[in-house]
Amino acid sequence: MQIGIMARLRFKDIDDGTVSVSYRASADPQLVHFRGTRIPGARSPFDVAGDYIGAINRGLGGGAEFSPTASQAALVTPVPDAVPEAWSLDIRMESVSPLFVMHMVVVFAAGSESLSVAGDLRPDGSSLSLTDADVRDWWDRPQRHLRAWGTVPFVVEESEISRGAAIRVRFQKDLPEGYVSAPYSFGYRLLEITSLLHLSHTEGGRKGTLEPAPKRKQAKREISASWAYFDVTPAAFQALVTNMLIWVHEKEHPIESVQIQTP
Amino acid sequence: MPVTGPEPLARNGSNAPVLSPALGVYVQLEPAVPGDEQRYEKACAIVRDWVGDKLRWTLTSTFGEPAPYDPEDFQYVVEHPASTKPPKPASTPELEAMQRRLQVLQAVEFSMNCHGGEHGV
Repeated sequence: MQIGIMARLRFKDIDDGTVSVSYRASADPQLVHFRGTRIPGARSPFDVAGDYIGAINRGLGGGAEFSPTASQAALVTPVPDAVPEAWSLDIRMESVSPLFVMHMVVVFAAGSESLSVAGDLRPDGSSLSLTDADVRDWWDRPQRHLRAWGTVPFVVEESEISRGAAIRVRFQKDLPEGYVSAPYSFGYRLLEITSLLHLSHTEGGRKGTLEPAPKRKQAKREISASWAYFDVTPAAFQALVTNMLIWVHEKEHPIESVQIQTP
Repeated sequence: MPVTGPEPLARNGSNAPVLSPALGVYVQLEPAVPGDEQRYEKACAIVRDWVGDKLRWTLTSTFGEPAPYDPEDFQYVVEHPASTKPPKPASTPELEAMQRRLQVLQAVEFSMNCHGGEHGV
């Protein structure tokens, strides 16, 4: 998972028309068409798509609009042996927050000379819509971020900490050995969160998380993780962590309580 | 660090305690390798039986603030050897080296500090 890490290094100015966005989120499946011309040496757009599809299917595409467990995506276009300079791919999406698609736009744009992202549903001005103007606005004022789903099925306790950020998750049952470190398991989700946070939640001169993933450890029924170099909008962190944990609670291991510490 | 316990060893001119008896135990285990879980469990049981009933707070390197001590906190130590299992071979030596560095930074370096003071910090 590398989403977000390199995104700020290069972003085409959306005002010159090289990036266009037209998306309206829906609980019904729709195809979202990604078209672009690739910057030489840039990461394959199919690899980038794979990262995001995985993140969506692990609950991170949800938000205030959709439950993390409802959010789904799948790559429709076969992966070519060699990605042409002018590439295209289609992703089937349902219940994916427009703000999550905005993350995708920024990262795809970072590796593209030009980019078009268009869903089957046209924007209608509602909060489910995403347009060029939204992306421009976000780039200038990135205070918009994914919100937590409203129904949280476990106790969340938020508190302040002098520096860094940390979570402590108590589960209802014993965890399998290596749950925090197994491939594509809990630790991988922490990496995804870190990447998403680094990308977007740096307003007011904030620097991001500045580390690829947190220190983490598991005990019998508990996992704790800490980000030492944390300079991120606290509310964005709390929302992403909460959404990820709702998915974990529903799909993998029921959670008893969560402590979230931010500056 | 304020502690509760027997009579202070020394007081100042205002009769305020300035020195209290305290017990400190620093346990530096041999570097863990996968499969060491049972040895670590025995070591933790010794420490827990020895001073466990005096402990009130736990601070780990993976959570920002001290939390009320729970005997199950020692499970963080017991599970530690499992986190030293090397990552699967990667496609290139460079990628494999990077994965090992990340593993050391994120999972292998770990410490836990328990104490029996009145306050967590």
